[in-house]
Amino acid sequence: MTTGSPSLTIINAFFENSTRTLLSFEIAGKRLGADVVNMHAAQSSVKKGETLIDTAMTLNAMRADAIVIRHHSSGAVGLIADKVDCPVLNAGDGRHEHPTQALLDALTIRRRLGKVEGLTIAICGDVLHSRVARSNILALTLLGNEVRVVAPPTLTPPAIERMHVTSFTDMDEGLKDADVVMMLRLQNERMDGAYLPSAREYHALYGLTPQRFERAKPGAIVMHPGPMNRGVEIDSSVADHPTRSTITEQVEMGVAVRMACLDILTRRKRGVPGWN
Amino acid sequence: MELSPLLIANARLLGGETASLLVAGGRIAALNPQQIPDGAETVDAHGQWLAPGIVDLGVFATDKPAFHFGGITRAALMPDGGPLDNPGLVERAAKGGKPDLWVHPLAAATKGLAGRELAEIGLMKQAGARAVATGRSRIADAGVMRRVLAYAASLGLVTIVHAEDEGLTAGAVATDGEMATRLGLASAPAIAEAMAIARDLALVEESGAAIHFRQVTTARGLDLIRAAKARGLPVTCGITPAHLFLSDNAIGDFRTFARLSPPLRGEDDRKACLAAVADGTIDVLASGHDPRGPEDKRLPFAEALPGMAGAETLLAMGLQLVRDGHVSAARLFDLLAATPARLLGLPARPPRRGAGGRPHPDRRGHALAGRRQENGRLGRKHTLRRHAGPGPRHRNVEGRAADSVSGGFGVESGCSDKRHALPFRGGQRDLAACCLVAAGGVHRPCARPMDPTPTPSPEGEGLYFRHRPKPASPLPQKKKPVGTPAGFKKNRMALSDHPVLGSPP
Repeated sequence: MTTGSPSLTIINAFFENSTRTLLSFEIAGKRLGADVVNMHAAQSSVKKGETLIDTAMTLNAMRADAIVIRHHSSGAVGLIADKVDCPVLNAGDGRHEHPTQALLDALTIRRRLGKVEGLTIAICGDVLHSRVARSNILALTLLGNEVRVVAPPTLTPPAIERMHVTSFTDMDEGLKDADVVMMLRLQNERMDGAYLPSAREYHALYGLTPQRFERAKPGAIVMHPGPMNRGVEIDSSVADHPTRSTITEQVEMGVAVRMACLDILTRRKRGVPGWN
Repeated sequence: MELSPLLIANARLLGGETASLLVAGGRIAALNPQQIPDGAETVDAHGQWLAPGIVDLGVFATDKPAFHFGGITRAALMPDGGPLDNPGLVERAAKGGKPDLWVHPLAAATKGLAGRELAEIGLMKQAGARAVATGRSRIADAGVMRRVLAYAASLGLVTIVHAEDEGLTAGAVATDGEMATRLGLASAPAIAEAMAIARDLALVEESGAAIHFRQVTTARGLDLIRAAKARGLPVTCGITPAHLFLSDNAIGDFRTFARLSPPLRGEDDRKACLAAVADGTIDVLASGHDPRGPEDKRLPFAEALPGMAGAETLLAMGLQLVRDGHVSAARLFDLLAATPARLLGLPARPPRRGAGGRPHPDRRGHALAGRRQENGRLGRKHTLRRHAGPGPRHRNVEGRAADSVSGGFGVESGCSDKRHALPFRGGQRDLAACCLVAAGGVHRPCARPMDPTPTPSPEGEGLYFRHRPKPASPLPQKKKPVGTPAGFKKNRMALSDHPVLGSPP
């Protein structure tokens, strides 16, 4: 988006609470010079019983140039995208996908390791409920990496091998010779006995401690989509490792990737030559 | 009111032979009658099948136009609406279809279908309930279930149950598998069904009470049923066409119309279901008619309600089973009519000769769900809308029921008008080809009678019968304007002229 172009309107419609993704999209839009409007479900007519389709039609009638949507239900963003004329960016739908996160993770890996192919990448934690894991599995297998899924059996999705990954329930085994260790956030409500006995047991079996991290390749990096539960899925000494932790860089790349997505998806609207 | 005699000529019985059938006083009077009584109305079936009216075991809505379209003459209403847990509601529901449709309410097994206290099953039986049902879910408490089975059996009623273990399926909207994982949908393992079946079979074995599993959709569940039948337990089970023709691939792209209860299974289970229909493990084919409007379906997948309309397409999908060689036509109508009727204690039996003996004069409730068989194939394909949910999903099917007579008779239209192949809703059944007969024997002949001369099919599938062409309207026809009228400005704006979307400054 070059300066001086007419200002675009981008709506961030977040039907699920989020701080960092919303902020990341907002900053990305503003750095591109767009007018960014945030819509929170708590303030919206969704609370008054409006259906998702009606909300989508309303957003569409406001003639936004791009809509960024996060929703707590899998497939909801696709449902809205079918109903609006402008580009729709999925900022996470239920357990389904979170594509910009996968793109920023791939970019971070490439910047750190110089390539995103032929690597061994271990995705560890609550894979069952994670849209980040699903999007990363799709992106990283497509780019030609060996993707491993390391999770307790209660948090491993059924038939996950059909997504061309190897499934591990033993953390030490799953981390062996990995180039990238990607940790996932464990929601607090999963630790109360429904899926896991307790946070401390999870940490004992699946927490990323410095000793466990040693099993990965020398020079392996550790990633986390945030927000972290320090002392549960990841030890502070690993999360704050000066050279091997990429967690802040991921946030930085998040803005860049979202700027790129917004830029590319609005090129047609802005009449950029070659994008009609 | 006395029914006028009706002669159905040139009908093909399910055994294969062609026969004429005389109906008098609402009953089959004679097969190939020598004498036709005065005033008898004749319907020429043109060699189409004469079949019993479908008894749909387990519908969630009394949807008369859909039932008429589908050749369904009797419907067993699930107790969930209401719920039907007291005699007054049952009596009222039983009257819901009159005068031209029998509704047989199923009594709720427990008060409010809550699965805790026994409902007044005996009084509901007196009010017209034909069986006991647990509704959309099963009774979680094995102790309650045991008492329901024994109590219903003492009244001579079959208990119709839903088979899904509620612990495994809590919150799930799909079956475990690649599709659910890729879509990120909460899913439950398919064994949830087998576990529920195993518990109920153990209770049946102990009590000897008759049980009917309304939908068995997995290979493991069917194995359990097969073994129980081999041991001689009073067990039957059913299935819906959706689970025979769709696997969980159908929920790809979050198609909420394919959100069902139990959820669609994997392809292996679907094939096992087809095999179980063929080998006789599955006894009943029912629609599970549960129409859902856009308010229930135009939602994110997990928030949409389960259910699919199915009454219109039940016969058509059943005929696909015949086409594909899974069942014979006679067995199809055992699945659709004879077995459900037996479970409900109804007299409907198919008119079959050679295969099943002479038709009995007391066998009421037949419909001509006919179709022609030409060149060894079932006749012309119709396109039916498969569901009432969003997103048109069309599927070519084989034929349909064209008519039913008050518990009654009908003929396949062989109609060439595509409109007639669509399901009719909201009382539009007058559009249907041939004649429809309301209760009391009042015949309403089609305004456009069948042309007796067969015409070669344009699709090269043999001959078919078409309606006589519409008589020319006496009113002068309005000519449609051709082209753009003079002075009419093109209202389409070129994109480059658009103030916002146009070329950038």
